[in-house]
Amino acid sequence: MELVGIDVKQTVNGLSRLATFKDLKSGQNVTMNFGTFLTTPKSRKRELYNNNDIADEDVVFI
Amino acid sequence: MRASRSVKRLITIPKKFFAGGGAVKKIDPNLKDFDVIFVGGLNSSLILKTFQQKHFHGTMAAFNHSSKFNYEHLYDYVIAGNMKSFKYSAMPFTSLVDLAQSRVMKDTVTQINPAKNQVTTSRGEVFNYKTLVLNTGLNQKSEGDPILAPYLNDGDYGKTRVFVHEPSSGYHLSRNSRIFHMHKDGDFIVYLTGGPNKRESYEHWYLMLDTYLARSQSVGSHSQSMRIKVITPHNYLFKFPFANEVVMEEISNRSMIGKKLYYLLRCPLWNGAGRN
Repeated sequence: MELVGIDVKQTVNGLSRLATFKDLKSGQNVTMNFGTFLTTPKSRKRELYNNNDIADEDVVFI
Repeated sequence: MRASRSVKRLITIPKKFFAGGGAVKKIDPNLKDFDVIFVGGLNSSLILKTFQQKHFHGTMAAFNHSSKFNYEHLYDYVIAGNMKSFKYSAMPFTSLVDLAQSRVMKDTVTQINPAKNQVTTSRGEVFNYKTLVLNTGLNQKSEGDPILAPYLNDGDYGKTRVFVHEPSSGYHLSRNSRIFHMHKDGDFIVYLTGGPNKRESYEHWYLMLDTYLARSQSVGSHSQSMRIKVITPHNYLFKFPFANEVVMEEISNRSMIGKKLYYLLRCPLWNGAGRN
């Protein structure tokens, strides 16, 4: 599932926190309430590897 | 005769000796050529320390701009000794190293030239190496992300409760130190996109998360219905024995609060295929 949106807004019952994901197989959106949302950005190689061939551009986990 | 030897001991400044004998050789602070150069975090300093303890006689240098490493998610909690088993995850970089024997520099290495066996720092200094040990990790930046950006710049407290793991960002390291404290209610969603982060993909992180939240549940500050949801396209992430079975067994064996640990044991693991 891919994150397509986050919505945090004030309601009469307090803050509403919603995360919307797209199911890549069915194409449908799934919305979930959350109390805390933690994500890790996409990983890339560090800049010190730009002028050499030590690291690949795409990080592949085996 | 014996008495005079004792007196001599008292008035002589003891020298440090290796186990094999010989005084400790102090490193030249202006040295530019090293047998081994380390670039990276705590694992680098751990290897350097091991080499020192193994009486490696070559010259070594370590580059790291951070004076200390800590688990920002639970920094205060860990430092205060509330989780002693996790305290090793928060320590100064140089606490592992004998600074008399090896150089530790805060400069950032900006370039590597493998053809010349050289590294260049942000100040333009060039250092030569025979062996280079890289422990730099990955570059993780959320800058410019249209979905996350509106919720990440709300200050240190993170009242939106939307957090991003960026080890190179001082702002996010500080903000993330409140992530568990700010979690009051609702589900805890961990969304892993590309290559899994070294923290969130480790069993250690979930063990710590469980330890913290389980205590909260035991005292009633968190709902029994609270769930940890991990959303990732990587089906293999939780298939490693060390990241699943061992941790689950560890959590079960602790029996700290018995059945209240069920929420993690039955934690729905969401992935790209919609498995839960």
